[in-house]
Formats: sequence, structure tokens, C-alpha cells
Amino acid sequence: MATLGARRALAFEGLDFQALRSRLRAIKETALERNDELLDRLVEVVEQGGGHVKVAATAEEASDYVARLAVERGVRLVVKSKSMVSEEVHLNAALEAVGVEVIETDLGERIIQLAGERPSHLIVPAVHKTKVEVIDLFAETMGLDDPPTEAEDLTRLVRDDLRERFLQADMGVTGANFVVAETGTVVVVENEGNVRLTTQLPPIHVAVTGREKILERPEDVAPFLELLPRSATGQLLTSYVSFITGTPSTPPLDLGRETGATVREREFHLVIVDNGRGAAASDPELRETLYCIRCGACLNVCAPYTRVGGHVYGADPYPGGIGCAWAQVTGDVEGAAHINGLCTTCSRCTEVCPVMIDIPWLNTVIRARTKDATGMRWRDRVFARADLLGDVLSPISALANPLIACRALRAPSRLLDIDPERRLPRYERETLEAWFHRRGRARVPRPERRVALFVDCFVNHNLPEVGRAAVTTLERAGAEVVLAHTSCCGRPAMSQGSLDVARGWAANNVEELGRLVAEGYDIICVEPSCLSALRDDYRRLLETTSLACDERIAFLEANVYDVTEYLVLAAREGWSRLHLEPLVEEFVVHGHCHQKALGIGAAPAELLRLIPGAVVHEVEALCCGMVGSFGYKAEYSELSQALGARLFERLNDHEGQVVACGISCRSQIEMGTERTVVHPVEVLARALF
Amino acid sequence: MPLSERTSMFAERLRAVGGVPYLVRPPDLLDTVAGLIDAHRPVLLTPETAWLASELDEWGIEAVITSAAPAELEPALRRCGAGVTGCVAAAASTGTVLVGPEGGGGGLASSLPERHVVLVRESDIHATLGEVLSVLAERFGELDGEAVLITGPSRTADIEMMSVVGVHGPLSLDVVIILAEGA
Ligand code: SF4
Ligand code: SF4
Repeated sequence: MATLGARRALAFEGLDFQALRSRLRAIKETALERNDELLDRLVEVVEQGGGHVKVAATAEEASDYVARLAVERGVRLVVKSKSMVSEEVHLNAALEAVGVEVIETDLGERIIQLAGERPSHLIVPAVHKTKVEVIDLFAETMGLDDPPTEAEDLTRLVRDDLRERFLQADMGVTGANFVVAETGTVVVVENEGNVRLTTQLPPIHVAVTGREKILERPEDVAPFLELLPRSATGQLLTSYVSFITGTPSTPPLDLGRETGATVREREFHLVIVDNGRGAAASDPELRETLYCIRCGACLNVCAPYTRVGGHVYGADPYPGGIGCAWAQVTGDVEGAAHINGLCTTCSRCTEVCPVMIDIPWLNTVIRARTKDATGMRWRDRVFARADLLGDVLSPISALANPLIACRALRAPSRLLDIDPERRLPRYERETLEAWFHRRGRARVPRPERRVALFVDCFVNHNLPEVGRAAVTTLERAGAEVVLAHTSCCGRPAMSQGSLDVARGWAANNVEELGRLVAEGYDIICVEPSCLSALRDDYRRLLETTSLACDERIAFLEANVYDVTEYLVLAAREGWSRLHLEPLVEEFVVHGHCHQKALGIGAAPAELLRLIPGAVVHEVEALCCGMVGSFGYKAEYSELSQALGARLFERLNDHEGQVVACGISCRSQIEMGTERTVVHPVEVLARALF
Repeated sequence: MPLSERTSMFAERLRAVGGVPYLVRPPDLLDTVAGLIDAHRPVLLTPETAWLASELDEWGIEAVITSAAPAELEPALRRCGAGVTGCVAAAASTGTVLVGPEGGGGGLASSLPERHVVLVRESDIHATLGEVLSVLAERFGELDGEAVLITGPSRTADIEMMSVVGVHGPLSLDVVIILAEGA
């Protein structure tokens, strides 16, 4: 999909994406708050205009309504354009059950229908099919001896094949991208022209849509038209955007239909589906799912999705990370639970989503609910308590490490469903805290800054040398360093779905770290995932509780830094006292997902470039696939390595020392490239005068 | 004759999305339209472009109007090769035309035939899509039925993400821009 990426970049040129998407978000938020009122208004307006409205509480109610209508009107053939909601309510099955033939007319959907499959992408439903497969499929289903081989001719074949069906159909079913309450207008965005034929030729038009699609005024649609096509296909605008209001005044055409359709006048039916949406609207944690405009942009950047596709990473019919949320909203909790583990919370999707949905957070919330409903696996309980694991294993590291390293003794791994091939982290006898205590606080003469190093569980127990390098470098830069004795950041608990545990720690950290900030300390993190918890997730974690107030959270957010970011700022602001010796070496830098998401992706490389003589190669910020404990889990281990494959290749394009900030990235890259990996501060510590 | 910046931008963006612009002065309009549809008979007209019918008759081109009685219209829908519509407003920024129902069944002329010819008055070209959407919002009442923003011919990328022009809608989009008199 590289071409899509390039097209996307072009399409967004000169556009204030952030401003525009804040606007879309605001419109959606307001419209959803007033959803009940807008729905009433819509029903009234459509009925005044001679249309019919069915508000369906459940999926069955929606499909039953359409099936019954088809029977009553003597419908034999339905042409349908792409509509995710009709997939959600299993409309085709309901129509076929009453003897009605349904033809999908979107090219991709038609391919899927002929193949007897289900869609795998929101915009490109047959993205998993190759051209050769399509040729074979057409040859077989249309009985062709000599099928065409070019995409253009294959497309024309479908045009000719379906044209007569359009003319013969008694009913046309479409979805809707937006519905305007004030005017009763259904807005449909498309490229192929099949929506237009579907709405104009058959005497009955049925639009099936979710109640979250209602906007108030026609003007509200405009900004969405700026972002939806750009996000979906990289087009400035799709070929067609239809605004359908009321029923056409022309009499229904009788295009030689052999059926007994008894329609004298044209009919328009609007089926508005609730199916869990109303409940989700008043659920503060799930609500933002309803802002989704189904553009598919999140899928195109999602590494697990692009790797395994929508049939594996999808809850029928909704694919990917947002699909998990849609499944949860529409009551498919099993489907949601099934795919929930696949979201690595890398946050790439949140950068492109035109309505700013925090998909990784939705997945975190759903993980917590799944866990509450079904209980938590032992393994996940262990992973959730990185803090305890360290407290127990560090003192007995002499005993524990050989056990952890010994292959023959990895049977317990198997019992816990941990991939036996994975090397688990070693535990150091002297933790960072113990070292600091033994050494005592260093006196920095006339310190430029006072900083408190956030002691994270992994650096403390598994890689105290990284913490030592950070302390030394910060001190040499002119900062007086203390250790912040706080709780775990909560990310391991969050990613296993233990939100209550994480909330307790978050509240504690907001309090403790806030106190340090008030005393004049800047808070420094070594592990970007901890930083991202502190700077990004606490707000979401605590917003639905009364555990900490917004101002205190904001206070912490504004004063917590990544160690590489902080040292770069120190140099830029001119207060850094670092004197670095030349290191004539090459470094290959991996960008951490959370650094990228926080907008500080360039900091590690910039920091290394402060070293005279250092040659720094930055590789494209790809997810390593490890994601905390994800890669250890037996069911995801293979996928985890596959996700990292592209990154490993990029890293292996260059000679030199591999540098990465994340602790779990480090072990993944070491396994995938068989090269050693260090943290940037370890390199800096070597260059100190 | 220097074209207004807006008109040339519209023409450029239209080309970029696979449409073809024709810039004509009013006296040359008929020749241009007849030339475009000559090989695509019969032609569907809308009540708004119905005035072309008698003129085209002189060229021997059969025309059917979309508001005609079903008995006359229906056979034409299967055979039509081209459709000619007017345009409410056009956007230079995206190369888009806004086509209304044009008094009945206008949408058939812009969706069924292989070739869609749009007549646009130069004065109806606006700078941005936003302005065209405001026109749409203002005139919603009179655009009852279907109003459609058209940006290029129909297309798809459903087979291996390869871009193909011409699916269920028109295979080609020709936009005849009628230049303001005296320009
Ligand atoms: S956070 Fe990453 S893994 Fe999860 S849905 Fe978004 S892009 Fe995919
Ligand atoms: S979650 Fe956002 S990016 Fe993904 S389909 Fe929905 S609107 Fe598009």
C-alpha cells in the first residue's frame, strides 16, 4: 500500500489537518449529545416528505423490516451498494431467507459475494484477493473460457454483467455516510457509480444506517467531505457524493421487470439501526467509537492488520482495532474479546484518524471488560505485575537467572503459554535503587536544574546499567538527580486489562510526582512507554474517576520528559554542561512507537548527533512488534516477530551499534537481528569527558 | 484571451481527476456538444437541457428527455450512449460539478450513459468546494430528489489497488465551460 501512503501525503498537502479534525470531532460530539432530539426531528422530516422511517432497536428488527417489506411488495431482486451496517445486521441472509435474490454491486463486494466470503477492509473489501484469483473466480462463476486478464477489462465485465440487474431490480439498498436531520437528506460517498444506479433505477430505495450518522444541518457535512475521501483513498473528493432528499417525483420505471412488484409510486425507506449504539452513547468509555466515519485510514497504518488482514484481525464485519470497538458496541463481545489482544497499542492509527479516536485506549478499556467478564489468565496476572516480579526475583537473581535462561527448564513457560523460544529478561542483583542508595546523592555544584528520575520496574530490576548511565549523564549535564520513589507507571497492568490496579498507581503517581514537581523537580523517564503512560494515558485512565483532578494531571503532563528529549532541550536551551569526547562510530537508531506518538521521535538521534564524530542513521519508525509482553505470549509470538521483520531489515541496512530506547524493543531487536542494542544514554555515558 | 485564474484551475483539476474540459464561446456551444455525443446516440437530456433537442435534431441525433413518459423513456435508458446535464455550481479547487435533479430524473442522464457531458457557465465556477457546498446548503429546497457532486468519471481500485476508470457510472466526463460573453 505504499502508493496509497504517497497519495495520502499529497492529498493532505496544504491542509491544516489538526484544525480540521478537531472540527470534525466537535461536530460529531455535539451531534451525538443531541442524538435523541436529532433522531426525532429526522423521523418527522422524512415522513413529511413522504418517506418511511424504521428505527430498529436490534439487528434482527432492522433486517426483518426490510425482508418483510420485500415480501409485501413482491420484490424478487435487490441490488445493493456497499454498506457496513447492512453487513452488521446480516441483511443479505434475511432477504435470501424469504426468497429474494441479492446482488452486491460494488466491485469489491461483488468479488467477495461471488467467492462466498466476507469483506476484510472497510474501503477495499476484497483487498486480500489477488488479480489472478479474481480472474479465476470470474471465469468459474460466469462460465467464461477465456476471461480477460487486465483489471480494466475485468471491471468492464462486471459493469456489463450487472447493468441488466440494475434495470431489473425491484429494490435498491444503500448505506449512508451521513444523514441530515434538518432536511432528511441521506448522503452517500462513492466512486463506482453503483450507489447512484441503486438509488435511481429500482422503484424502492432502502437506506440502512446507524443512528450515530445523524448530523444536524447540511453545512455540518461539508468539513467531513474534506477529510473522508482524503483519509479513505487519498482522493481530494470521491467521484460521487449523492445528497438524496425525499423520493423522486418521477413515476417508477417499469424496466421490463418480470416480477410482480406492486409499486405504483416510488418509495423511500430509511432504516436507522441502534443495535447497542444508544447504550454506547451514554457509556463514556466507549462513546467515541460512534464518531467513526469508517474511512479505513487506521487500518492502512496498522501493522498487525496489514500483516494478517481483516479476516484474522476483525470481528465480523468490522476489521482492525476499531473493529474490536464496533464489535463491543454492537454486542459481539466474544468477537471483541477474540481480537482484542492483537492491538499492540502502538498509537499509529490515532495520528491519522480524522475524528481523533483513541483506538488503543478503546482496546485497553475493552481488555479490562473482557477480563472482568471472563477472569484473567495466570500468565497475564504475572505480566501485569512487573513491579512484584522484580521485587521477588532481583534478590534471588543468582538462582533465578540460570533458571530463566535454561531451555530445559522452560516448561513453566509452556504452562503459562509463554513462547519457550523467548529469552525472558535477566534480573540484576543490585537494582538501580540499591546502587543509588549505596552511592549516595551526588553533589552537583550550583545545579542548573533539579530532576527526579522516574524509576521504572524494568530499568530498576533488569537493566539498572541504563538507569546508572542516565543518572550520570544528567548529573554531568548540570542537573541534580534524585530518584522518584513511586509506584509502577501502570502500563503493564493497563495492557493486561487491569485498569483498576493501574488507576490506583496512576493516582498515586499523580500525587507523588506532582509533589516533586511542586518542589521544583522535572520528572525524567528512561522508558518511553512509562513516559507515555504519565504524559498521555493518565488523563484517560483517571477522567472517569474522582481519583485525581484535571489540573494535577495537567501539572504532571507538563513537567515530565523523556531523558533523550530532556538532554536535547538542555543543549538547545544552552544550559547543558555536557562535554562529549569524539566517538567515531556509526549508530542505527530505532524510533519508539510511543516517542513517535508523543511527537519526540527525533530526540534520540538528535541527542547522539551531539557526539562529535558520531554517524547516526535513523531508520523509519516501524513498530518492533514486541509491545511489552505481547511477544512473549505463545499465541502472538510468531506474529510479533513477523511484525518486526521490516524493522529488522531496515536496521540491517546499516552497520554500527543499534540504539533503541524501549526495554522490550531492545529484547525484540536483539532476537530479530542477533545484534546487541543499547539505550542512547549508554552511548552518551561512554562519551563523557 | 487570458482565462480567469479560477477557470483555468478548474480545468486543470478536472483533468487531474480524469475529466476533460472544453472551453467554448456561446456561439460554438452546439457544435461542441454535438461533436461530443455524435458517436454516442441516442442522448438523454434533462428538462434543463431539453432545449438542445430541436437543435440536435438538425444533426440527426435522437434525444430523449428524462421526464418523458415511461413508455418513451424506458427503451432509451437501455440504449443511451450519452447524457447532457447542466450544473448548479462548480468548484475549482477539486474540479467538481454539482448537478441537481434538473426538473425530473436528471440523475439518470449523469449516471447511466457511458459518456456524461456537463454544461457549465463560467460564472458558476467557484474557487473552493466549501463555496459550492454553501450553494448546495442554501438551495437545498429546490434540489429535492438527488443532488450530486461529481468529480471525474466513475472509478475503482478494488482489484489489487489498481486504479481503473469507468465502472458502473460514466466512463468519461466532459465538461463544456461556456465562457462569459465579452471575455
Ligand atoms: S494502536 Fe497500533 S496496533 Fe492498535 S489498532 Fe492502532 S495501529 Fe493497530
Ligand atoms: S477509527 Fe478513525 S481512522 Fe479508523 S475508520 Fe474510524 S474514522 Fe477512520
